[in-house]
Parts: sequence; C-alpha cells; structure tokens
Amino acid sequence: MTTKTICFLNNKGGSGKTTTCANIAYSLSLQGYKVLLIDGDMQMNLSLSYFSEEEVIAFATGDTNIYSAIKYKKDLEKCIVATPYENIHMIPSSTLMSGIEYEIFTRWQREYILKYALDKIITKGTYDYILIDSPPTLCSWVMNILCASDFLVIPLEASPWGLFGIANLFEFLEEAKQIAPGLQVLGIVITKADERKSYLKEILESLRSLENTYVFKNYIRVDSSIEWSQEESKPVMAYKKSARSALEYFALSKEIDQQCQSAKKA
Amino acid sequence: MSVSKKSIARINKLTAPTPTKEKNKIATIKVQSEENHKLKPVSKTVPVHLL
Repeated sequence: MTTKTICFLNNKGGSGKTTTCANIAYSLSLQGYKVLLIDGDMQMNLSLSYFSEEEVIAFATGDTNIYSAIKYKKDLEKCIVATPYENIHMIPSSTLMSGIEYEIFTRWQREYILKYALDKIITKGTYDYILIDSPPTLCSWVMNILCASDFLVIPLEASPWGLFGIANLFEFLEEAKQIAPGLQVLGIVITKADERKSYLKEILESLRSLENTYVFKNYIRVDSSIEWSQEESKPVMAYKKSARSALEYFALSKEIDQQCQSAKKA
Repeated sequence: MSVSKKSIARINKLTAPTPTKEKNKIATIKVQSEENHKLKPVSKTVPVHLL
C-alpha cells in the first residue's frame, strides 16, 4: 500500500480536528496500519493526546519537533518519536510554531517545504498513513500542509457558524488547488453532535444537500469519555474501549480508509 | 435565507465541476496571417474557452 497523507483542517477553532486526528490514528493502527502523526499546531494538543505534559514540553524545547526540523532544515525522520502504542509514531509540535510563518516566508518554494521534507519518508513506504493536524487558521504553513497532503478531512461542529467557516475554507481551497492540484477533499465529518438538539437534524439535512462534497455517514456524538481520555493523554479507545465515541471513531476510521482506497490518488 | 443555507449554496457553487466539455470544445476562427508580406485571413482552431 502506498502511503496516504491526510490532513485535518478547519479554520474554525474547537471543531474537533485534533481529537479526530488522534483517534483516527489509533483506530487505523488497530486495523493493522502503520501511522505517522504530525502535530502541525502550536497548541501541541495532538502531542498531548499521546504523551504526558512533561514529555510534550521536553519535545517542544528540545529538537525533536516539527518547528526545529523546518527551521534548521533537518531530516524529518530524525524528529520522529515512538508513541506508547504499536504502529503509531509522531513528529511532535512546539510552542515556537507560532513563528513558523516567519521562518518559511523567505524560503524558495515556501509552500512545498513540508512536502519535500516528507518525500523521503513516503518513498521509504514505512507508513500506510500520515495524518497531519493543522492549526485553526489559513496561512502559508497551512498551505504547506495542504500541498503535502493527498486528502483533506474537514471536522465540523454542527452550528451555523461552523458552516459559515467551512464555506470560507472552501474559498481558500480554491486558491490552494492552484498549487496543490492533487489534493482531494475526502469529506466533512460532524463532531460533538448532540442528538438532544433539534438543530442537529437541520444541519444534517443541509449537509446532505451538498452536491459535490462527501459527508461521512459516521458522526461523533458528544461524549465525556473524550475529555477523560484527554486528561490521561490517551486516545479514547485506549482509555475506555467501550466508550461511545471510541466505537464511533473506529467506525469513522473504517469509512475514511474505505474512501481513501476508492479515491484515485492524483 | 438562513446562514447555513447560504453557506451550503456557497460551497455548492465553489465545488461545482468545471465544464471540461466546454473547455475542450474546439472552434474555428479566422485570423490574419502574414504571407508574402500580405495579411490574409486563414482558419485556425482554438479551444472555445480561450475565445
């Protein structure tokens, strides 16, 4: 299987990008896939989903993080760390990522820095999936993430402002397509769905009227197990196998895998 | 129209497939060609979307 790179992006904060990225990685690893996670967000929450606070800070202040690799043009492979789970590796983030725009601004072909850095890892074929978590913004670094990805998954919190945000994201994607023509939107996934609210039904109906964008059949409902798992720096399935969200993320990972297999890689 | 409906309409517009058939359509036009230092109209085929 050739390595497939998926990024999780939504310019709106709190849409569930990091939680989805972390839990899809774990679910894919349970299916036997080798996964590399890249924490592209300065908030370091993806790193914190797998490592303790002390470890995350050690990565961030040391040289095993994505910022250090980009700034010093290091071999990205040297920044990979093993997580406590089999088949899942990670390139952690750093708070210094807040300055990444400054670092890449004057570089030649600045939108392709991450893509070129990842090429060596992809050529080796060590991983089946590379999952990239993005910051909640639209900038050159996010353009780097899009250029390095084959597929894009858009987590969406079911709200009118959430939809307004992804409409803006699609406008940004129109620009991105010009330099990342191979990028495919895999689909939109609803997160934090609260079935007690009648509005969920309304937004599901609205999303189903999208003509050319796939909306994942599996969605993630609100579940306090997610917060409890984050407290323990674990994916929800590792925290509580029978948790509702754990089962939902597992089903979603199968759907994502299926979508990736059926999509033609550009 | 509500915020969500407007947003859906925007996304549909942005993701609408490019009319490739129209892009590939060929038209024949007459252009001025210089031959023996004289301009004369000749036929030339160009993609429709470039017209």
